[in-house]
Amino acid sequence: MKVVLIQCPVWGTREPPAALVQLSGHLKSLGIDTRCFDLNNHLYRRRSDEISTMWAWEQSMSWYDGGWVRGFFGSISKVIDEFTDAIAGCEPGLAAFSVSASTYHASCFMADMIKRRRRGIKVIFGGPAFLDPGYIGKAFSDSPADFLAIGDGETILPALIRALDTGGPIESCPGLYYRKGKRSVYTGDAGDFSLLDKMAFMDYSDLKIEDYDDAVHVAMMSSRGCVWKCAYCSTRAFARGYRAMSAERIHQEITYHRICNFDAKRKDNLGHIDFMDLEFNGRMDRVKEFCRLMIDYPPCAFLPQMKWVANAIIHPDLDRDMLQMIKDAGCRKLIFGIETGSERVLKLMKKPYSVNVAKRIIKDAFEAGLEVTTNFMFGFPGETEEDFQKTLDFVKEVGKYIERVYPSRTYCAVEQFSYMQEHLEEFGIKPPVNHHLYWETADGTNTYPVRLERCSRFEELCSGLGVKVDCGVKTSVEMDNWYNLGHYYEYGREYAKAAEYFLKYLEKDPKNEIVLSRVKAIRRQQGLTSVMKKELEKYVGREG
Amino acid sequence: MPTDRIDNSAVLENARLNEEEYRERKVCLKSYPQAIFVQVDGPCNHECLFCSRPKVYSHFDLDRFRSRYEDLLMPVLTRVSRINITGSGELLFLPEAKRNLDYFNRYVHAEKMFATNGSSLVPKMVDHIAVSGNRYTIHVSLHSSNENLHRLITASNSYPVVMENLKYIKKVKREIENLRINYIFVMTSQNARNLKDFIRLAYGNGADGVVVYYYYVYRLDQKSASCYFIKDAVNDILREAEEELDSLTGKDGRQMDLILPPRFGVEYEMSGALCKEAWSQVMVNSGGDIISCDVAGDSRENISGKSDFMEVWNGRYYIDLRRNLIEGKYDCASFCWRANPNTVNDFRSHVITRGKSEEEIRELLEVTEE
Repeated sequence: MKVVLIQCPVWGTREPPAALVQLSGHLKSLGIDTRCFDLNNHLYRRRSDEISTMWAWEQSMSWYDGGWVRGFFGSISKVIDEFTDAIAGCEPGLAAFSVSASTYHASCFMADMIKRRRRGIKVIFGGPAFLDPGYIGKAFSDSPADFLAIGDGETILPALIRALDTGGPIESCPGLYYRKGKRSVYTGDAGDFSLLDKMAFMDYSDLKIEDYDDAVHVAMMSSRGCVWKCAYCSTRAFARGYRAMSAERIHQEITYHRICNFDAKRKDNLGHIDFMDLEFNGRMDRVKEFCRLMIDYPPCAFLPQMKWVANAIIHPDLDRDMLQMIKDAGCRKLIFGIETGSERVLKLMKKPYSVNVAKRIIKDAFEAGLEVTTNFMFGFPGETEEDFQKTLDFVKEVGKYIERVYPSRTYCAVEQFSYMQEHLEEFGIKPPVNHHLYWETADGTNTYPVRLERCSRFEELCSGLGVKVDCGVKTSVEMDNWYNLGHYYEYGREYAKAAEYFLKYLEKDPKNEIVLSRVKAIRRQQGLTSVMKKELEKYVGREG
Repeated sequence: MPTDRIDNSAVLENARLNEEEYRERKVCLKSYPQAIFVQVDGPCNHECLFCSRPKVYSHFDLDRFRSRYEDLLMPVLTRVSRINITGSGELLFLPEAKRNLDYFNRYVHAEKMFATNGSSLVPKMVDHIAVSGNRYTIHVSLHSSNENLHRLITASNSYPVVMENLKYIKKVKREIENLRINYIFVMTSQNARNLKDFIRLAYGNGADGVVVYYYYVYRLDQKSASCYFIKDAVNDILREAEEELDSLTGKDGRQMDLILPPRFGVEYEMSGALCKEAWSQVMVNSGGDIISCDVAGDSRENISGKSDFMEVWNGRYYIDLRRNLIEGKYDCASFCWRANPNTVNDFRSHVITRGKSEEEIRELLEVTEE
C-alpha cells in the first residue's frame, strides 16, 4: 500500500516539516512506499502581498478559523485542485495528515478533497492536536478521517498499514481511534517509540531542503521530552519522560546528510544543524560524546566545519572545559531558557537551578566563544515588580555576554496541559482561564497589558545595553504590540480601545487582511465614537 | 555462544570437508557452507545506471535478524571463513552501522566482506574497522577515475567525498594489515574506456586489487549500456588493462591484483568445473529467503519456520541445484559467465531474469546486434 504524508497550513517554512521527513524515512526503511506533500510550503511560496503575513506566527490565527480556511481555499481552488490531483496521482491507499491546532481546518478541508478524488482511500489524522480530547470527537464530525492516531506515528502507522494491507483487525493496532458505526473506538495506548537509535534518517527525497527558507541547514530532533518539569510548559503532555538518541546515532545522521547533499559547486554544503530538541543537554554524557565525535570525525572534514545551534538547560556540568569542547565541536550558539532573574520566580516556575549558576554559565559560554541567546518571560504568576527588576538587573549584569535575547511575545501564556493550567489556584490565577494569553491574577495586578508593558521595558533596556532583541515577529515589535492590544481589547469587548490600536496598525500596513477583518467586525459595536467610526471606514468602506 | 572463543579448527575442518564434498560431487552435505552472504540493505545516496535495487525496500535491522534467524544460522556463522554483509544501498549509512559491524565482528574467525560506493566509508568507520582486529575485504564500487564520469554512472556528486575517504584509507592501511581494499569497476559501454585510468588511480591509491565485472541488465532501459554490444572494444580494453598494470608494477614493484571478466569469443577450458557456490555459499535476505548467490535464478528456499539449518542446506532447493549442476543441467549457471566463462558470448548471461514475467524476459533478451 502506498502512503502519502501531508502537511497543511499553517506551519513553519524554514525547513521541511520534521514530522513528515522523519516519518517518511522511517516508513521507507520498513519497505513502505511513502510520498510527502507539503501544502503549507506550496502555498507559502505562491502567496500574494495581501496575505504575506499569514505565515508570520504572530498573525496566523485566521488558519484557526474553519470558515476563513474554506473561503481562502475556495478562492484558490485551481491551486488546491492541482495539489489534490498530484496526491491522488500517487494512487495512495492511505493519506496521513500531521495535525496541530494551526493545521486542523486546512487538514479537514484537504482530507475531504482527497476522499472525493480517490475512492476508497483511508485517511488518518495524527499529531499534537489530539492531545486535547476535545479534538477527537470534533475531528470525526468535521472531517472524513477514518482514524486518529494518538502517539508516535513511527509506532502506530506501520501496524495500521500492515492491517489495511492484509485485512487484519484494526482493533489490534494500538494508538488509534476509529469509527465504528456512530461511535469511535479506541484501541489502547501504543506506547512511545523509545528506540530512537533505530529510527531511520530523515528523508528529504520529496521535500527538498533547498525549497525552504533556509537551504543550508538540517533541523534535527535528537531527543524527545524534557528532563525538567517547568510549571508553565505543556511539553510533558507531548512526550512522557525523556528519550534521546545516542551521540553516535546523531553523528551518523549528520554525516549522512552532509555527504548526500554535497555539491562541489556550492559553498555552503549543508553546513549547519539546528537541534530542535527541547534541550540538547538533557544528558551531559551524550553531549560530551557527541562533541568528541564532531572533533575527531568532522563530517566531510575537507569542507568548512559544520556549525550547530541547540537549546540547552542550565546544567551545573556546563563548566569552562565542557563549554570549550562544545565550541570546538562546531557549536555556534546555545539558547538558554532563563525566563527570569528572580530566584523566587525560578522556584515558582519549578526550574531547578540558581540565578548565579546561570550567570556563570552565560559568562563561561561567552568566553569560550559561543553566542548565547536567552529566552525571557514576563509576568509569570507571582512575579512582582521587584522580581521583574531582578530580571532587568540580570540583563544589566550579564548582558555583555549575551548575543541576543528572545523575549516571549506571548509574555507568559497559560498553556494547555501545563502544570500551571491544572493548578490555577496555586498560582493565584483567576479562574476560569478562557484565553491562554489574556489570563489575570485574582488580585488583578498581573494582566495582559501589564505583561506586555514589562516586556517593552525589558526590550528597551536590552536595546540600550546593545543586546540584540530577537522577538521572532515578522512584522515589527511596535506593530505587534498594537496588534496584540487590539485583539486583547476586542476580546474584552472594549471596542474603542481595540479600534485605537487597530487604527495605529493600519496606518503602517493598510492592506493587512487580518486587521481589516477585525475592523470590519468591530466597526458597528457599541462604544465607538463617530470620529473613530469614520477613521475605520477609511480602510474598510461604509459597507465593509 | 561466546563467539570470540570459537575454535578455529572447527572452521578449518568444515572447509576441508566442504571442499572434499564438492570434489566428490556430493548432493547431500555433512559440511556447512564456507561463506555466508547476509543481505544487509541500507539507504543509498547513488542512483547507479546499473542498479538493481527496488524503489522501496526494508533496511537491515540487526534485532530482527537475530530474533528470526540467529539460532538457525549459528552453526553456519561459527564455521564459515567469510561473512559477506552486502545488500542494496550502504550498510555504513545505517543508523546502527557500528553496532551491526560489532555484531558480525564477534565471529572473529571469519573474514568480513562488504561492498560500498565509498561515500559512507568515512574515517570514523575505517577506524572502527581497523581497531576491530577482524580481517576485512572492502569492495569500493567506484566505476570511474574522474568526477564527471562518476556523476554520469552514479547520478551523484559524491566523487570528491569518496576520494577523500580513499585518501584516508590509504593512510590507515600503512599501519594495519587487516584491511584489504578492492576497487570495483562495473563495466558498461559508458565507462569501459576509462578502465586504464581507473587501474592507474587504484594503483596510486594503494588498492590491493581491481575487480572488473560486466554489468547485469535488470531493466529494459539498462540494456543498451551492456558490454555485450561492444565485444571487440571490450576485449581490447581488457588487454590494455593488463598491460597498464604490468607497466605500473614494472616501475614500482608493488603488486596489485587485477581480476577481469572473461573475454568475448575465447574458448575457455572448463574440464568439468562446476559452479562452486551451490556447495560453498549460502545467501540470506531479510525475509529469510535463501539463495546460492546474488545472480541466482528464481528458485529459492526460505529459512523461516525451519528447525535446523540443514533442512535448508540439504533441502529441495539445494539438492536440485547441486544435482542439476552435476548432471550438466546447469540450472541458473547455464547462463552465468561467472560459473561458466564460455557463456559470456550469450546475451542471456548478461541479463538477470529473476522475478520477471515471461513477457518481460522476452523483451529483455531480445537482441538487436548492430
